[in-house]
Amino acid sequence: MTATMAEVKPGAHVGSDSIILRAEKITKQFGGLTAVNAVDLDIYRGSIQGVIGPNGAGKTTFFNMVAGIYQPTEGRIIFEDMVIHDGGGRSSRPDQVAERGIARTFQNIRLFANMTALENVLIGMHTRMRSSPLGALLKLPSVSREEQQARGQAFQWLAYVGLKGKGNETAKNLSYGDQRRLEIARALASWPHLLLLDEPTAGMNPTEKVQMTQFIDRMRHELDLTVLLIEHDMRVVMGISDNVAVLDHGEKIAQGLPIEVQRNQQVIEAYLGKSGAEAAAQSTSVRHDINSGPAQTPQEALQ
Amino acid sequence: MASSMPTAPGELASGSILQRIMSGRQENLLLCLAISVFALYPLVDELFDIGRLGSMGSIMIYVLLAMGLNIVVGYAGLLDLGYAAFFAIGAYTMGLLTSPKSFFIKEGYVPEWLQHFWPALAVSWVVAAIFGVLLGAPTLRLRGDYLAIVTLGFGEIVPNFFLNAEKITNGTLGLNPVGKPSTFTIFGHKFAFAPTDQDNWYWLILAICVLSLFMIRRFYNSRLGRTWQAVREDEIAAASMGVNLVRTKLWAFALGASFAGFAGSLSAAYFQYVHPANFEFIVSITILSMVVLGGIGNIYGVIAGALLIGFFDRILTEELTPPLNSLGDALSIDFLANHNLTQDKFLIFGLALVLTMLLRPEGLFPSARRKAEFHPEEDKISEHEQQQMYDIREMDEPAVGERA
Amino acid sequence: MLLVLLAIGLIYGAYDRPELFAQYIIIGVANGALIALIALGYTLVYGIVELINFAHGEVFMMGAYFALTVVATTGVTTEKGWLILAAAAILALLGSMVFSSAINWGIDRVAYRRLRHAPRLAPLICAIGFSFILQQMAVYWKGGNPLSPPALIPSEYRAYNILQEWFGLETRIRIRPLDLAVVLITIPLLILLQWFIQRTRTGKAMRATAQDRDAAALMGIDVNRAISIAFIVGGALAGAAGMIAVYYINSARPGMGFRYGLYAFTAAVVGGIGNLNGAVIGGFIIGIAWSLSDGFLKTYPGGHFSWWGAQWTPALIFGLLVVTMVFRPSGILGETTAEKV
Repeated sequence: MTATMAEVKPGAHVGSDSIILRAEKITKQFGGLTAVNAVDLDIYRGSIQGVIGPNGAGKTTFFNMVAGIYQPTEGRIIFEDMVIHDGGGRSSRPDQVAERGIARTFQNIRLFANMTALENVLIGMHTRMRSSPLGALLKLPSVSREEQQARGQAFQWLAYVGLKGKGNETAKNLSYGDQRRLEIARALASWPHLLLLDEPTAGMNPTEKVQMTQFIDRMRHELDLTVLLIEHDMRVVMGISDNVAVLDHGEKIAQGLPIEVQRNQQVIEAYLGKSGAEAAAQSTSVRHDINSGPAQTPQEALQ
Repeated sequence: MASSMPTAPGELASGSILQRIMSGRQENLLLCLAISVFALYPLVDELFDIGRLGSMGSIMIYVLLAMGLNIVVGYAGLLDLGYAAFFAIGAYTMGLLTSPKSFFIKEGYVPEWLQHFWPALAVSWVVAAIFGVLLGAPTLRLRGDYLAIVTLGFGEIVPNFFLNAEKITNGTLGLNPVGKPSTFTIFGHKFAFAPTDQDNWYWLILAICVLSLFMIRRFYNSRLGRTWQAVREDEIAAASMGVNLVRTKLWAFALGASFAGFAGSLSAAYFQYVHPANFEFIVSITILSMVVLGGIGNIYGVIAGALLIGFFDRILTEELTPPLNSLGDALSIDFLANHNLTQDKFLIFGLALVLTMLLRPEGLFPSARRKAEFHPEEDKISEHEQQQMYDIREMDEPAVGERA
Repeated sequence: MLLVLLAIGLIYGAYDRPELFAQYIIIGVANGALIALIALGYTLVYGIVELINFAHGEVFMMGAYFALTVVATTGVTTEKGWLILAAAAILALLGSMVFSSAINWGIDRVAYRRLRHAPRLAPLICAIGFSFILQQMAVYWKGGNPLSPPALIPSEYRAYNILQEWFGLETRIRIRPLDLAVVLITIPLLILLQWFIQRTRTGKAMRATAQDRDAAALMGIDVNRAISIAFIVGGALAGAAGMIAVYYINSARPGMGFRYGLYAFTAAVVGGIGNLNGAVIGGFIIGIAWSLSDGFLKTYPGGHFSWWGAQWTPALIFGLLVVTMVFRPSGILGETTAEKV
């Protein structure tokens, strides 16, 4: 199913229920600087959409606009048939976006460092809990019940990401990899329809990266998720993405199947500069399978 | 949910939950013990002829205030330098509802059933909370130190208003007398509240303190309490997890203010007097130094801080002044001979704040969490993020209703 | 809303009673110059370490007390010649500048510097603590009651109207030598400060530090020194303001720093905190608002504001602070800075 989605060419007519998120010409300007310029992107339900690009290409800005941290200067973003942001200044706040079913992780981990792993996940469940402060004051049975259930579920989420038995550890005392997992658990706990992962494998060693990549893929199938994945590491993106968009200088320069994008001349230029791209063109061995040995980035291909 | 998810959380959670219950039990046991000790104080006072029951009453009002401010400063991490404003609002609510000098009573605006202590106490709790929301709503999008100054501004405006709106508040003359609880009987003991019934007053204040303590504990241990922590640690991450920052902070402001409302109306009735000079900036700072010294965020630490500073302020300085003066006489040092320690308030509170921040920023009795927080890396939030996250224009009506 | 109404009332008032209005503006300008001097200290420190130096008002107050002490020590009286009086005044001015900057520098050295990497509220709470400690020190030093400074201006010149005596204008508007002196001391100090910040090496180092402390350190700038100098310069301006204030309002008391400090802080915020010109503009705005609110508003024709008086000034100014903070926290001249996540 995912394969067919990935083959749908941009611009082709698609039933709107298969598109979970649509960004229409979104632009973000900081003062005079245009960080993201008129980017269109459709994300198909159940797919993993990769976004790549060199440093400063506007990936994270794009991401933050979807998540509601920045307001787009122009354009609009539609999530599950609802306009969540538009350029006219009407824009959802991050918490409203989360409530709608978009959860995220952060490039530079932003856990609640002094809270336990369990509490971090419980905050993730916030939007799915209903108890009011008044109920808490009166200690209504429904509130206690909800709290118990939430704790039970939170432990399950921790186990799911591989943090079994670490629920009571303070988040900042967890190892780096575990912190990344905890961030994902926290995001999953809100039962998102769309999960935004901002460089989930940054700072990991190759083995951890492979594990994380496999985990993302597994998660997507088991939890019926759609994933928007920003990555620096080409191997990760190319390995699991159904479709990849490439940003450069705030503009989308290419989009398509990973294999197509990888061969795209413009993309190689963006990553390597013109001269590098010419050299790379002579190399033919561009592979993209993470499981069968080292996949290659254009840089590697160059050597 | 996927099949790979474990369905029985029991084995995972059991250890920790057991631990939690155990420590919870212990906590309650110790708490009961401490409350009994305080409840027995009037007997001790009488037995040993200490004669400090009156001071203990005002110290308990401090405790109430410190617990309330701790919600704002400790739990939600919002530095409020104008907390005395809510104290004043509570006191004036009580005064205006029950004092015969009140403009509203004279004009006959207050229904008869409301002109009594208990209904007025409840009303002042609510009124203070409402003002907490009113004063909080426009300011909560400000960054920490700006917020501090704006609250300070409110803390100056509110007593200034009470002082100058003479027609309503009787200005510098203040409101006197103020309603007090009517006599009631529990287990054959008659509780009367004449000015001489210091023990009954003390018990009343203590009872309200204990009630407030339990209320605050419940709030803190709820979903709301958890979001306070999250917002304090990382606003952006909290918002991205669906926490409504404005609402979370407003709850802290409202609840914090509401307990100051309790304290205000209690003190109005206790002293039978409401006067604008009782709500100056120094009051806000006194309460802040209690919270800071005791341990920001830990309610027991804060209570200890309040007792400590209250004891210092209300008892120790008075008790120590005569011996200090005689010492000065003996050594013929004029300064010591004539010095009155009760005038050293500013120095004491100032030093309490400075030394705590320098030597033990987490306070004397810190919560484990806050202790850790006082050694973090800098976290800069950009203006853009600020703007967007506090966009309260459409708080009730999100911009998402439109069909594509 | 209220502010808009007040503004309309004032414009009409200015049209209706121009002379009285002008008189209050003159007082306001002198007041404003004073506030601007204090506000600069807030803004200098805030610009460089992002700390609201809450103790700054008390640094100003200590300067006032020191000025008064210096003049009393020299023992000059108004019978002495002009030159001696002027020398005493200059001595007091310099003395209080040095004294105040020493206090300000000392506080930074002892406390704030250790809290540079602590959470933001830690140094702020510390500063509040120092503000109270300094007030108490002033009480120990000079007692809690207001003190009048020894006279430096001969009594016949106190009510002397420069406009009438020098320019022969027949007007009820009065400019006293004191009003002129305030402005004459303030303006050169402001120019000096501008020159210092814009032209000297140290000033440039300070600006670099304010922009980006880490980058400045990497460029070989002694960051701690730059910060210390901000405190010293801010303290010196506060000291000068203290000297001026003690003569302008003819009294000093331990609590004066709190009110003036907050008014000055409001001025800094209104002008755009961190911005030197903003602090000056804000100072004049607050000074004029203060003077109009104290006296002019109640004379407003029709008596609609007859209930208004000096007792409402704090509420007005804090109202201004709150409104600015809420609606334009960057002030008149401040700019919002964009940072990336």
